[in-house]
Amino acid sequence: MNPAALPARRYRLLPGSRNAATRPSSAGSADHATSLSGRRVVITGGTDGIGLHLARIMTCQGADLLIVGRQREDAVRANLMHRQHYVRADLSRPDSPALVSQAIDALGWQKIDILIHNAAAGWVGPVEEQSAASVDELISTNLLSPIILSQLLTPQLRMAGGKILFIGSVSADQPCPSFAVYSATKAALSGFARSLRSELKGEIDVQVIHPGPTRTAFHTKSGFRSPRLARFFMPPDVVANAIFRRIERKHATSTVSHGAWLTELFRRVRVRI
Amino acid sequence: MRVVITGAARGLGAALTSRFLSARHSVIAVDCDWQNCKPGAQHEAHIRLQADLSDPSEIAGLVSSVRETGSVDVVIHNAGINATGPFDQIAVSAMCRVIEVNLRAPILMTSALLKQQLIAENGTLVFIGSLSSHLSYPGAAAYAASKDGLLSFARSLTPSLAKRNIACLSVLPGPLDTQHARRHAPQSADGTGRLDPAIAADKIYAALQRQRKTLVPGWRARIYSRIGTTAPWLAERIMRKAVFLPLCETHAETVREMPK
Ligand SMILES: NC(=O)c1ccc[n+]([C@@H]2O[C@H](COP(=O)([O-])OP(=O)(O)OC[C@H]3O[C@@H](n4cnc5c(N)ncnc54)[C@H](OP(=O)(O)O)[C@@H]3O)[C@@H](O)[C@H]2O)c1
Repeated sequence: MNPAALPARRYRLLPGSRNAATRPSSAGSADHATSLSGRRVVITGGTDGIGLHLARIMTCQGADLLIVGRQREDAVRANLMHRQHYVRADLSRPDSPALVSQAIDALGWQKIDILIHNAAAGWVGPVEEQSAASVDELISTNLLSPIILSQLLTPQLRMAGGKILFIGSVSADQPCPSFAVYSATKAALSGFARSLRSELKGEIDVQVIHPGPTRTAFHTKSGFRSPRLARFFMPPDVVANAIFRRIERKHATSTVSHGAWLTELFRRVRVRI
Repeated sequence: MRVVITGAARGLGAALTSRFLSARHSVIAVDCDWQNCKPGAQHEAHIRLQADLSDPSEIAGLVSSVRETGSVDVVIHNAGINATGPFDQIAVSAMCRVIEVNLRAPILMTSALLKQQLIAENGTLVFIGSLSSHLSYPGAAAYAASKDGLLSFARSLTPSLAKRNIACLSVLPGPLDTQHARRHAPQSADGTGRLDPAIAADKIYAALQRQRKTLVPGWRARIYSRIGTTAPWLAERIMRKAVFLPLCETHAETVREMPK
């Protein structure tokens, strides 16, 4: 059975996550306080999954977007909406942050309101079977590129009094023997954000949002096949919508998952042991 | 016991090497730079290897050198570097190196050692993290990232390795009285409260004997750890005031003093 065909309401979040996706989307309503018209947003990995949905929501809210992806431009052009720009940069390569920065200069953006680090690569299996190249790919894509890109775009973010958003993962704080390197990169990202937030206080806001298991192609790309489990994963539009709602808030970290507050509590307790 | 210690030429690594040697264990000491080090007692129990851990091919070479001597009982991932200053003024290359040495190297090395079954049954992997995982480390965000990643990696390995009778020990030291730590401390810091690396090495040795899973060595570090876990906002304030702002001052001064 194709999991994508399952009705969305089966993935409703538990009570307690009242801020999350249980409410119907009001993203389009004009009186919503989170309208983004005139805001400039850079999002990595906006060609698939959560990033694709998040980019759409933000564009519908009036933002100008620069989407960063590794696919060829002609392959994504058909999917681009009005006010969405695209730059091709493979974030597993060291020159990619500079490419993004050049694209921003070419657009003439002197201010960036929100920088979203969403692109990530995964790998599933015991760590001794993971090749050095794959370890390197994960560390570069999930950790090094976000660090370097954040640094390159600091001036534009400062100008706007903007925000850096890191998409983490609930796996960052749990023992994950079968994706140890992936969770290590996500934990590292979260440690990076915690320190950077304190450093940039009053200038740039830094936020981490940890999604729970989401029904995207991410798992297949990581070499993980488990359609049975995927039935219980959240749909990406629901997750993207919940992330979007949290962007307006000032919480340093939050979780988008089944029973989000419980997971967040668990996460906080866990990380502090 | 046969022990591999990375970053063994100076600081905590050197102290750990002495500690294990004095307990009559044999040590394979790894470092990228053995210059200006006291000539080590050149006996069989103490092998010195040179490897730059930021380079994956040198890690592979290191692991094959270890293989020639047989499996090991303890691996201590101790090598670590730092890059401090205001975030937007730290060189990209320096931040990359921090991640490569502190995070990628232990991952690659562990993976290769496990793959080639070079870790003996009942062996232990020791990961030297940092107290920054319980606090934050403004002024060294890439360093904080690498150490959080390392401890997460250790946490993930623990259950699967336990099945093979291999244990993991995570160590979260606070400031140590080493050259490297002093170099990255704000100029105004007077160095009180730094833990003697020899004492830290003793504590790590004892924790290993007792098969502990985590260790925060020293009472000062434990107090800070407690503050970080119970009142993160307070810990953040302290770190910003005591570390970040002085670091910025130091940085501004060095920039001023630099010849134009
Ligand atoms: N899915 C989950 O269960 C889950 C759970 C927790 C956290 N997350 C996190 O949520 C974020 C989005 O995940 P997702 O599920 O939406 O994954 P996804 O569907 O695979 O989307 C990932 C996006 O990142 C892009 N990307 C990957 N590697 C890249 C590279 N080297 N250079 C440039 N772009 C690259 C992908 O491009 P392509 O279209 O070319 O592949 C895609 O646009 C990730 O940070 C992930 O870690 C996901």
